[in-house]
Amino acid sequence: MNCQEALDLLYEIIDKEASEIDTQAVKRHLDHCQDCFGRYQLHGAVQSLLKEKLKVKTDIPAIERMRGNILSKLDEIDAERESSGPKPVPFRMPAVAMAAAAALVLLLGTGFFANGLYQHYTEYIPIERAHWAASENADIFKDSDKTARIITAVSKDFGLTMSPGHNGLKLVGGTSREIRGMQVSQFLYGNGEYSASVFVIPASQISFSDDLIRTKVTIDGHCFYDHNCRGCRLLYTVNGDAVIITASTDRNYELTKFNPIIGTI
Amino acid sequence: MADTTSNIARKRQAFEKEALPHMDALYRTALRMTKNVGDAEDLVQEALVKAYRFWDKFETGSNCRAWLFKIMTNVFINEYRSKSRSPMSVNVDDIDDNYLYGQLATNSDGDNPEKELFAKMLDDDVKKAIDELPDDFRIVVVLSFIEGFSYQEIAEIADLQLGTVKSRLHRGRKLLQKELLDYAIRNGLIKGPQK
Repeated sequence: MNCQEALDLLYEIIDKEASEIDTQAVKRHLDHCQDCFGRYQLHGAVQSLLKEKLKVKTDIPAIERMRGNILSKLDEIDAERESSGPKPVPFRMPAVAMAAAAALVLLLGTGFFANGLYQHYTEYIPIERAHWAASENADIFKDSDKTARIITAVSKDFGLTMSPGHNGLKLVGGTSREIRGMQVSQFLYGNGEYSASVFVIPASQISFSDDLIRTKVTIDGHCFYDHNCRGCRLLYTVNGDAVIITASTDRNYELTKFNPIIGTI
Repeated sequence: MADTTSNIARKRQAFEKEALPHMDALYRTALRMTKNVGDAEDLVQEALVKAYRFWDKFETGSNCRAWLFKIMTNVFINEYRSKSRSPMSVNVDDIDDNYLYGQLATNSDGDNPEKELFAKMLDDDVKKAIDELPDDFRIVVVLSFIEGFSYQEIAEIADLQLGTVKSRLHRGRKLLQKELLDYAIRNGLIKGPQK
């Protein structure tokens, strides 16, 4: 082996990619060639120093942040997969400390039963999805005129007063939408870190199943129906003619302390 | 086809156990691919969510880490790499293979010129030099240097011929060495070339 041949194999040797035969041949060459030996030594040292310099410490906050986001996206995918099944899907209860919170099933109102499409279908995903969509497209909530109109409507129809902020979250805005045939007012609250939605639905439009009524829980002296389906937590309260649902996908946000409607609970 | 709840839960558990622990490695490579923290976080999240969607396609027992890097590299190439791929300002072939050796040997007094040079160079300087590499070269350099993937693994991850991996790695190295040396000379870490 001559010098050129030996140097042609330099990086493959350093990367431990050269064949055994080539490696032995290079070794024999380096034994008697000081110049090539020097080059091998230098490049080998440069390589290990480079690797040393490129080491990074684990960025724990970044990893935690990504992990949280990824897990909620996976929940979303799981929910999609479950909902694509032909049969009603039993809830899998998460291991949360919400002792008595068994599966909540919010069945659709009679209007929907009539057309037979969603009979016995567990109806929770649209509300969750509406919150996910809102937290990702907060801009559509930033119309202050529209927000003012929705706030007025909610006040007139149900006597509810929306607070501009509560438990660390500020009102981003409100909108009105139809979710699976129900007329829903949705308010988005957030602080850049966490977000939560408040849904106000006329009680006449939805009916609670027996399952749901059985799973009533009391948190801090307030009565809720607590639905926690891995990715999204929903708390239902009934207030006069309205059903109020608060929703958040942020696991660490204490949704039970979020009561942005003045005069309720 | 409908998944049963227990089936979904089982897949989810396997994914969290096998794939998520690679997040740290994916992130450090994503940082060098995208060159900024925000994009790197997005890239990792997008790649892992995509991997979860395709988890059925992953063969149990095969190399999960390489599979995840393949997905991430793919997402990076398709969605993140700079839209305007600037033509390379340096012709790599003009750089002599022995550039580094020649420079260090002639411009240093000590026995271990490379150690002296790197001792003075900050980690960030080296990262910056990597960031300066054109995307095509940077991808293979990062997969090799930071992640220690073999040529064959890199070929599969980046969907390249083995020969292309070798040549890009070689050319990437030459560019990197030149950048580091130029940087060192500019900042007075070592003496400039004597003509």
